Amino acid sequence: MRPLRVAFYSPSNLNVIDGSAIWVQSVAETLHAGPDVHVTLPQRFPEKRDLITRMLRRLERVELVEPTRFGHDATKGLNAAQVLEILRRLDEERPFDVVLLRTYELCLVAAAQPWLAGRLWSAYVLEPERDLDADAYRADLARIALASRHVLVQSEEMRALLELHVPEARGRTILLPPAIPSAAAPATDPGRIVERLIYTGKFSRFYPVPRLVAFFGLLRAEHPALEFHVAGDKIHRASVDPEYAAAVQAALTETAGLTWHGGLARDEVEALLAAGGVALSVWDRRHGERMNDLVISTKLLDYCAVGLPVVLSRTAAQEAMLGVDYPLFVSEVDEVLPLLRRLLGEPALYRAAAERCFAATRRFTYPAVFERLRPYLERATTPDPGPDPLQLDRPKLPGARWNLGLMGLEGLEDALVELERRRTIDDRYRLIVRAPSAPAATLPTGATFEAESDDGYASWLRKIGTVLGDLS
Amino acid sequence: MAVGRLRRLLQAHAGHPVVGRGVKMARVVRDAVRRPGTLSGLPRAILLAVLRTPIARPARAPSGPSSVERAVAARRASAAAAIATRAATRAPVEPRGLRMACVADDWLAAGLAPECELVPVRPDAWRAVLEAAPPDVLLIQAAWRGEAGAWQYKVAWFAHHDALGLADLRALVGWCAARDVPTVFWDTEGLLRFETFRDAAALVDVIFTVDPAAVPHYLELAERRAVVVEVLPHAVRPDLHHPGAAPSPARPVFVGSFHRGLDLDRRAALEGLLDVAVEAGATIHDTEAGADDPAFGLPERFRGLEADRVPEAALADVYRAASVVLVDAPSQTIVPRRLLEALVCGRPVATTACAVAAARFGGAVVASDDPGVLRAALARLAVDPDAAMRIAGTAGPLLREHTYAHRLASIARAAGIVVSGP
Repeated sequence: MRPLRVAFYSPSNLNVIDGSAIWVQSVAETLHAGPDVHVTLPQRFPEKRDLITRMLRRLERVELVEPTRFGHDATKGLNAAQVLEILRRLDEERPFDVVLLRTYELCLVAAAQPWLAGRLWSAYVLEPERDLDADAYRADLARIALASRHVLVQSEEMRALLELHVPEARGRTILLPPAIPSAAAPATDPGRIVERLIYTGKFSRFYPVPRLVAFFGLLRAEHPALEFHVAGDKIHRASVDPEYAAAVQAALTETAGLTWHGGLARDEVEALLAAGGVALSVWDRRHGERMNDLVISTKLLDYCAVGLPVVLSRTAAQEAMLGVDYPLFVSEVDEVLPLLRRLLGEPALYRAAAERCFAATRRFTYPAVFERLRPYLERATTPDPGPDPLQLDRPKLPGARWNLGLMGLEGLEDALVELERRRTIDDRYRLIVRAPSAPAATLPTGATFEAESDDGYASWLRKIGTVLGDLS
Repeated sequence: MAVGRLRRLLQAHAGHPVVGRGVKMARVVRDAVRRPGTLSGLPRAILLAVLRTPIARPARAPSGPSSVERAVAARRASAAAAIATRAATRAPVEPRGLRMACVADDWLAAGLAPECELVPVRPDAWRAVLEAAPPDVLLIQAAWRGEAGAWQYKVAWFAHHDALGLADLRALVGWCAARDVPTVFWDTEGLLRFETFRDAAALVDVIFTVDPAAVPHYLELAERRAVVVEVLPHAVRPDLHHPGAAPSPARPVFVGSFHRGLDLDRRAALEGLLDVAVEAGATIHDTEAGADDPAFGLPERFRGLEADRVPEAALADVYRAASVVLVDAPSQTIVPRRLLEALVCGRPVATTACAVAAARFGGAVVASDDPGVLRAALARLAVDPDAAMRIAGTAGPLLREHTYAHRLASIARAAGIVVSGP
C-alpha cells in the first residue's frame, strides 16, 4: 500500500481525560497500526496538559497540529468552521486521502464542503442524546451520509440502527469499534482472587453507584479485607433527582474501605486496574438510552484487556463480545450482590470469567481493528471503486439457517416447490421472497414477501441461510 | 456579545418550548450553554429569537410531566376509556364468534384456534385480510417466529432492521387503534426476556404475562400504552393433553431446552437435572435442537444423547409414554408450560426448583435443584405404579381453570369484550 494520508479530528479536549479524548487516542493508535498510514490530527484546544498528547507524540507517523497554526483564536476551542478551514489549508499543502471526522455537528458542516467530496469519513454521527424520530435530525444524517465516502459506526448493532433510519447510509457503513493496545498476556493473574471491587467512570443514575456501594458494605461483612476503588470525578446533577449528587458524594467519601481516587490520568487508571480485582459495569436501564445496548465501551475493553473479571449488564453488543454464556452477566442491578458473593468465593469462576474477558478483547486490539479498516483504506485511493463486497460480510442472525431467500419473482414456482419439500423434512424452513412488487397470488404458509429496498441486500442476507436461484 | 452575557441569556431561556424545525429548544439551549460554539449551527431565526428576548428570568414553573409523558398518559387514558366503553356497550359473544387476529407462534395459535375464530396474520398480508373482515381483538404473543416464521425478527428485539422500531407490528397495531380494535400482548416468556419483548409490549392496550415477577417491570415501562397489566399463566389443550396409559416398561423423558444464558445457579440446576435424567435412562428431547441459535445448546456431555426432534403436537404422546417427565423451570415464579401439559397427561413431573409449581401441585411435582432429591424421586416413582393414576386426578382441576378457553375469556374480558364460557 502506498503511503496513505489521513486527516483525523474529533472536537475533544485533549487536556482532559474523558471518553472522547481517549477515543481520539485509540483511533490514532489504530490508524497508526498501518505501517503506511500517516495521520494528521488537529487539536481543538491549545495544549495545557499532555495526558493524551504525550502518548500520541510517541507515534512517529502521527502529526499533531496546534490549533493556532493558521492564526485562529483557539482560547475557547476551535469551532467546526475553523477546524475545517485548518484541514483545508493542510490539504492544500499535502492532499489527504481520507478525512475522518467525528460528531454529527461537525460532519454536517463538513458535508457541505465540496473539497471533501469522495474523501469524507463521518464517524459516530448517531448520538444517544439526539432524537432519532426527529425528521430534521434524520434529514441531516441523510445529508451527511450522501456526502460521505463512508459512515463509521461502533458496532453491528449501531449499523443496523443507522441503516434503518438513514437509508442513504446503506452501502457506506463500516465498523470502527473501540480499540485497545494489544497486550500479549493479561496484567493480572486470573488464578488469584483479588478482593477489590473497581468502578471507573461517570456518576449518574444510569450507573447505580450508590447501590454498588451498598452491596460493597454488605460484602465487607463477609470479606473484611475487601476494598472498593472508584475513579472518576463527573457527578451528574439531575434536576429530577436533586438528592442524587449528594447521595453519591456521601457514598464515595464516607464509606469505610472505599477509596475514591477522583479523576485519574489514563496511565493511572491502568495502574489501578493492573492491581487486579472485580470490575463493575452495571447499568440501571430505567435511566439510560436504549442505544447504550448497541455499543461496547472502551472502558469495558480496558477492564477486560487487563484480565479482570467484569460483572456487567447483559446487552446484545456485550453478549456478542463475551458470549451468551459469559457467567457474570446480570439483567438487573439486584443480581449483582449474590453474584459478587459467589465470585469472591469461587476461584474457578473467577478464573473462567477473567480468561473469557481477556480472550474477548483480542479482536479489539489496534492491529486487529486496523485489519478490518485496511481494505477501505486501500480503496480510499481509488476514485470510484464500485460496489463494496465487504458490505455483505455480516454475521447471520439466529435461526437464519432455516430461511430460504429468493431475490425477485423469477423462479418463484420452483422455490415454492423446494420450500414444500424442505418443510416436509422440517417445518422450521421458510421462504422469504424479496422483489420490487408482490406476487399476484397469495403466498402459501411458510412463504412471505418483502418489498425490495435499495440497501444492496446486506441486511437482508443476514437472515437468509440459503439463497435459491438458477446459477446456470 | 460577551460569552458570559450570552450564557446568562441562554440559561434564562432553558426550557423554552419547541421552536422552528422541530429541534427541541431546551436541548439546543442546554447544548449551547455547554458548548457556545454550537450556536453557529442554529437556524438564524431561532438564534435571533434567543438573543433578542429580554433577560428577565421567568418565574420558575412547577415541574410537571414532559410532553412525552403527557402523550403517553393520553394514550393510556384513551385505551382505558375504549375498554370501558366496549365493556359497557357490547353484548356478550360466543367464544367461537370472537374473531381474534393474532401474531403468535404456531403452538399458541394451535391452542387458541379451536376456541375462537382465530386469524393468524402475516406482516406482508394482514391488511387485506383484516380490512375484508375486521377482528374483534388483536393478540400479539411474545413470539419468536409467528405463523410459520413470518414474524421472525419482527416482534422480538434483534439488532436488525426488521426488529429495530418494529415497523410491521406498529403498522398493524396502528391500524387496529384507528378502528377501535383492542390490542393485547401476552408475554409467554417471563421476566428473563423482558428486554427482548418490551418494545412490542409497549404498543398495546392490555399486557398479560405468565410471570408475576414481570408485572412491576411492565408497570414501570414509561412508554407503555396499556393500563391493564395482569398475570395470565400458560394453558393446556384438552384435545391434545389428556391422560392415557403408559406403555410398560416406560422410561423417563426430558422435554425442554438449555439456554446458555441462564444464570449460574439455574444453569447448574438444569445440568443436575439432565445428569439425573441420563442416569435414569431418560430420553432427551431438546426442543431447540437445530435451532441455529448460539443462545441454545446442551452442554457438551449431553450432546449426541438427544432423540430426534418431535413436532410440538406430538409431544403429548411423548408425555403419555413416559414414566416421569422432567422439565426445566426457568424461574421460581412461572409454572412451565411443559409441566402443565405433562400433568394433564397424567404424568408425574420432576423439575428444577420452582417455588410456584411446588406450592401449587404438591405431590404431583418434585421441584428441586438437588440432584439427590430428584434421583430419589425418580427411583420412588419408578416403583409406584399408582403414581400416574394419582396424578391423573390432578388433571380435572387443571382442565377446569387452565385451558385456552379460559385464556381466551381472560383476553377478551381485559379488552372489554365479554365472552360466554368458562
